[in-house]
Amino acid sequence: MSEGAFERMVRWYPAQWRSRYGDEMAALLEDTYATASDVPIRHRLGLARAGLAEQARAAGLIGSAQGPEERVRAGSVLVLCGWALFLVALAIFGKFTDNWFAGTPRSGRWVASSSFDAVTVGAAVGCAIVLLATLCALPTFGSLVRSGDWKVLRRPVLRAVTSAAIAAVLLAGALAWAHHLNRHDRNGGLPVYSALFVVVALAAVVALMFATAAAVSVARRIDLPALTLRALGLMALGLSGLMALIFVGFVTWWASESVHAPGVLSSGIGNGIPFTSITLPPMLLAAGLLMFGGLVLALGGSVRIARAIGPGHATT
Amino acid sequence: MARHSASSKGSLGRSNEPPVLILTSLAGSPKHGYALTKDIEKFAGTTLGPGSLYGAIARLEERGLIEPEPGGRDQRRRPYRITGAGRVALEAAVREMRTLADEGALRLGIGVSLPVIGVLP
Repeated sequence: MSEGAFERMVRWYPAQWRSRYGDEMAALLEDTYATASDVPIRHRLGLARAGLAEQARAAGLIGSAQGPEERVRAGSVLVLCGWALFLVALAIFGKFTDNWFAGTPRSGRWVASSSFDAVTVGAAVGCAIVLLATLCALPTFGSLVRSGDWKVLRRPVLRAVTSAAIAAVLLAGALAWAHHLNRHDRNGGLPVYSALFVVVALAAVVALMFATAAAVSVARRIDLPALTLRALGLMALGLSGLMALIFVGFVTWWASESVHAPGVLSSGIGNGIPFTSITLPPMLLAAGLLMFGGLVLALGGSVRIARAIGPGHATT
Repeated sequence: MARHSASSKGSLGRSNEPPVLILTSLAGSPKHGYALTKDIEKFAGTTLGPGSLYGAIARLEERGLIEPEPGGRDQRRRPYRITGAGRVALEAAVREMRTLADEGALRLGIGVSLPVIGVLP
């Protein structure tokens, strides 16, 4: 095997790590496998796993080698990623619950109504927290842009802005068309409109994904003042709490409706794709799984933040 | 990715962890990556994969338990040596393992590894 082939095997590691240990590791691979026809797949996979673990460690997502500030930053990024999953889940939930109130008998409304309100208020407050966090980070981001030192961020930011613009144009087009359609056509009666709806939804998800990726890139690179970072960490903890509340509200609404108004669940969007269920409609299952994944990320991030800013670990 | 030989398959925990193996190897003499792997294979019957080896080297160096030997000619095969702090850490680990081994041996009735000097008449 060539020297270059060994050097390529350490590509999984972060650049800083490679500059310190990359040559040594390539030399070790050369010494070990110079006479072999190939590196065993087991060791290749081990290198990939170890390299990705180093990437996560460098980003402060795992391990305790990074300082508390880096851990607050990494924890906040994890919470933000969890919130992005929640937004997709909330959009699905929002569409699913278009007409739930009218279809629910008065006797079963109290629990469902309270839990639905908890989800709605939680989502609104969560969006406000993310907006506030963005405003807090904006002055530092502005300084970075003004200093001309943001070349590495230009690509993810431009990609996020472009995808958001495309999603907005598609959404505006779909809304304009929807005004000329009757309820039957808007709800699956017109296949072309249904297809456009799916395209708009996918464009929105892609835009959200790119926006999150851009936010993560920015969060990892801007040098926030300690006080701002601490405030962002506390906001992330608050957001995680809201996500837990939203999840509980979502599950409670679902349970209440399955008891008092199964018809609402069986007639919701997506039933029949890929299966039909009265109590476990596929769209609500998808939303629930997304929320659960988001909650796991947020809790992981919150633990890192809490450990970093807890008593005896104050950020400086 | 540590691969254990058949003889060490049933080994109990800590003594097989890469940091302990590396510190033990370097306690003998400074070594570079490949020499470390071969030495560990010889005394522990365990093959450390490159990812595990350099992951552990990086952590040990971060903690100041090992350091690169200054003035090595081949920067790609730089030897590492154990530091004073590394010796202290290894001593603590060895003591802990010995306590456990002695207790296990005592309970099994297979003899205790007490220091030989001063015990024999």
